[in-house]
Amino acid sequence: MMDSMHIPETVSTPLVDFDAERRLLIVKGQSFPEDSFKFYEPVLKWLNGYVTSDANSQLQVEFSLTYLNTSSSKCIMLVLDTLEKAHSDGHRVQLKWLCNEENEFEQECAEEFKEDYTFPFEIALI
Amino acid sequence: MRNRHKELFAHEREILDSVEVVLRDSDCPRQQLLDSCRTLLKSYEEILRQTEKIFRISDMTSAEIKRTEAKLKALLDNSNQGFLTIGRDLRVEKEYSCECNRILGDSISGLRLDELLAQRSEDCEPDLDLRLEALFAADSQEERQALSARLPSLLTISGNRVAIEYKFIANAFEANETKLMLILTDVTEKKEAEEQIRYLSYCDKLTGLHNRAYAESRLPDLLAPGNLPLGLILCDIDGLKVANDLFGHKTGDDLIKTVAGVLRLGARKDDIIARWGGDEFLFLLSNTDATQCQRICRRIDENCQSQESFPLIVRVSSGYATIDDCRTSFDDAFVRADAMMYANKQLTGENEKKGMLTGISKQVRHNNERLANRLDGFTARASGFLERLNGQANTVVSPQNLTVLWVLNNLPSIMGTAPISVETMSRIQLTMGEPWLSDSYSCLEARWDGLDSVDGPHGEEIPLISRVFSILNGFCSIMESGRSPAEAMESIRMESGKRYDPQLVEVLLGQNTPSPV
Repeated sequence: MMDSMHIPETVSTPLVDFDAERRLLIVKGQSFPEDSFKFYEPVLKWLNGYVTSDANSQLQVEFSLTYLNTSSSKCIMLVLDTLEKAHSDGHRVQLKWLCNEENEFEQECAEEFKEDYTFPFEIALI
Repeated sequence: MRNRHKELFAHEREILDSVEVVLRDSDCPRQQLLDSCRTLLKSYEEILRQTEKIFRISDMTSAEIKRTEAKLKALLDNSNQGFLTIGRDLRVEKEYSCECNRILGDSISGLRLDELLAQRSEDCEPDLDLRLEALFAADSQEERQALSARLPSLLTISGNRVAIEYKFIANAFEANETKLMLILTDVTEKKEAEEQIRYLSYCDKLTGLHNRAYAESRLPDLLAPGNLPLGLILCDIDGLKVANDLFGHKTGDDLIKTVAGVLRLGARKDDIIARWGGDEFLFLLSNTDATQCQRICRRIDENCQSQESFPLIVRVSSGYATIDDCRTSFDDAFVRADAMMYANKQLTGENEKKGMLTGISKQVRHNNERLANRLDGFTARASGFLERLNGQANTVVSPQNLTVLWVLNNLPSIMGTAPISVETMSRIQLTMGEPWLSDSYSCLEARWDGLDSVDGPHGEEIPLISRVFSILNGFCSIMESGRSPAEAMESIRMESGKRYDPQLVEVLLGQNTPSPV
């Protein structure tokens, strides 16, 4: 089993936390780091390593992102691309994107991200 | 900045680089070239797709940010409070709510706060810059709080009273940088309302003088050694109860206001005059001895006498006392002043009565010529009648008392007030010390034969003065209606033993004397 990953939340970066027992990766908060790639690179590396380490590994991903700057959007797409590849390789991956029920903007953003992917991608209103 | 995002497109750059290598190879096989082009095309399509998506997301995000920013700005701008921040350089930062412009003026961004307040505020202290710098230099929260408490919390800025709160706020993006936020609230109206409430709570609304609550609140200061000897003068209005009873409370209130004005004339600039009770006033006089108090009381008397009567003469009874040292309490001094005032009041009892009659007579003559003529006619006829009557044994009737009865009987016409009730007349009798008044007044209309009332007095049960008044008033009324003296006498004679006392009828008709009235 992959080591847990934990990056605490800051003003400009989200919480990234992997619960190995539940096989749940949570990304929660705002994302506008000055260097998005520098922030997300370890996450992408870890994710790549996780989805390829065990052919039958499962992964649930939960996003709760209230703000993404432009470069963070690109990084999130890289994460989703990784999940899409894992899905097409037969791994069981699913994503739940949590949106504020009263915020249409968040819901529209989530729909944009979901549009081009085939792996299980749920938009849940909270 | 540009290089920062290179890694985000690392994969795409790899494709570009590999295609570039292929293109540079002039010997590259056609198939390899085609494959590279296809790879490039596919990558280009993907980039285009992602770019479009990112543009859309970015546009939505920007719009949302702008909406949120506008809402927050609207909240701040409509909060009726000014919010601004300054940094260590004490300069106003460019984001602030529009109420700041109203309070401090336009274009305040970049200006030093201490200089801004020095220009616009009437009461800003000159070392504000040092205090603000000390605040930013403070090491601990406790020190900051202590220093903040020393900053001005209420200033007058461009004529408005402005309350100021100070809060240190951390910069969300610069961990070590703090800002000082000022929250400005225009409290001009609130202060004016508080001042009005304070004024009303300490002011007697009728006279405009201070009230008892104010005087009592000032006592601790006034009793300080620097203000001794403290003079107390207590003044009581003469005739207020009579004025209220006879003329109504509006006349009574007018008397109170006139007296208040007279007392103000007698006061010095720092003297405190308070309406202590309904008809009592108290002077509190710093650094004033007994001789000075006496002089002030005399001045008050003189000022009263110089007032126009209206219908009562304006007169107060005064008493004074001084507190010379801290061994004398206010209560003790007050009791002494009160005792002196009461003693003086007893001496002026007669004046009070005379004052009432003088005032009413003046009111009659001033306001109503017809009534004045009637009064003159009555007193003239009464004079002759009483000359004959009082010559007889046990029949002395005072002409002044008859006049009082005439005035009281005609008071509603004179003053436009309601007739005097029996209860009111009983009070007036007590006030004036005239035990005959109430019974006599109540019998003015009583018939000699008692036919007007089942249980009422008749015959000699009716006070003599009432019987005299009745016959004289009846005779005068008939004369005033235009009938001749002979006709009037005949009307009176016909009522002899019925309405009128037969013996008095004889006096009137002159049957006991050679000539009739």
